Amino acid sequence: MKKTTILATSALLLAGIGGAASAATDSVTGTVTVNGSVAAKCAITGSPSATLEVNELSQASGTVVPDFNNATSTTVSFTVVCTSPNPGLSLSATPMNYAAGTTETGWTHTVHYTSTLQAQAASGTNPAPLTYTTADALPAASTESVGGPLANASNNITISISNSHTTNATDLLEASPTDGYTGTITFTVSPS
Amino acid sequence: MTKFTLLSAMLGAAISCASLPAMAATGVTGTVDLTGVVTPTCSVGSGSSSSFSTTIALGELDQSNGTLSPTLSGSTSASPAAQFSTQITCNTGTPAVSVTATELIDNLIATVPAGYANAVNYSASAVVVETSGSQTFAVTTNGATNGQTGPTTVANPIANQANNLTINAYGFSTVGAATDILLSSGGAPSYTATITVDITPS
Repeated sequence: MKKTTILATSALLLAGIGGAASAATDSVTGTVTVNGSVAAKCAITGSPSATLEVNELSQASGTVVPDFNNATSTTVSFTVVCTSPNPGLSLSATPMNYAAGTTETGWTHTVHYTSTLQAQAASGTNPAPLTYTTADALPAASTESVGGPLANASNNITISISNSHTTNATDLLEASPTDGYTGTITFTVSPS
Repeated sequence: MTKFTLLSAMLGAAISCASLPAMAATGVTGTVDLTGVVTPTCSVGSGSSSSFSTTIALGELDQSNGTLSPTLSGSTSASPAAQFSTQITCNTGTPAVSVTATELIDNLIATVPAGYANAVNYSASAVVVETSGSQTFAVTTNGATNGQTGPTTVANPIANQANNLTINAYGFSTVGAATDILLSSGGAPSYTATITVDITPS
């Protein structure tokens, strides 16, 4: 009677211990998060500057040619890459000026013009051409947004010049050495 | 009434006899059986945790022309771009290992035009050092399709040593074309991927 009682009690105790210890198996789960960033930026592939040679600015009458008629080229293209989904565009210019010239009545050594920036959008729907026309009092830079990412393509920014003119249309252009008249067009493509 | 009284008296006598010290030379034998269990378990480090997590910052993903950095695209299993090591303790002979990896993607970018990308594929591996040799469990993401392998049992018990599990990320490639420009959603580390490693005792 005693033996039976002791064995039964021990079995119950051990069964209780064993039941608690035999929980479900434990596994390990590890998580590695990898992150990175892409900064909003724009860069020009190749040279960021170019020269348009417009050659002779005056026509036979001595006044300015109306549309850079003697230019070797009136357009130049750049390849710009931007990681931004909607880059901003800015365009400004200085008139072509013969710095060593002197101003006499009926004469000028400044040629104004219109510069145009055409950006290609990745969507195929390009933004409106951005224009800037120089004047004696320079206007503020022209700006707009592409409206989406730039096309990931060569020559996606084109700058062209047109509408060469003087403040007074009848003014004669003062003679200069070769390439004596210079102006600068500045465009900026900014991440947004 | 008389009969009931007699029976009660007999029972009382019997109980009284049983409670007396043993009169004969027979002893009492007690037996205690001891049993134990070692629950199949895998844990992190010294065994206090069943999970680990860490973050590896890759930094700037693109190069100056906007395409994927050659540092990332040129990384290999032997020279990974990201690596993390820890110690796993398992008390079973052949635990099973699973690896899942998601693409490195910036979900803040809703629209991805032609010529651009907002996601990067890569390979992830879990290298397990065993009591004899090591095994590599590698996966490669394929865009929105996760890389996944396992559960696969290891050939030998996992070595009882530090850094017996190493997780690598390497071989990055732009989802799309290599010439695609990676789009930015503002410059924060918003390109995110997750590598999940499960080790189950078996």
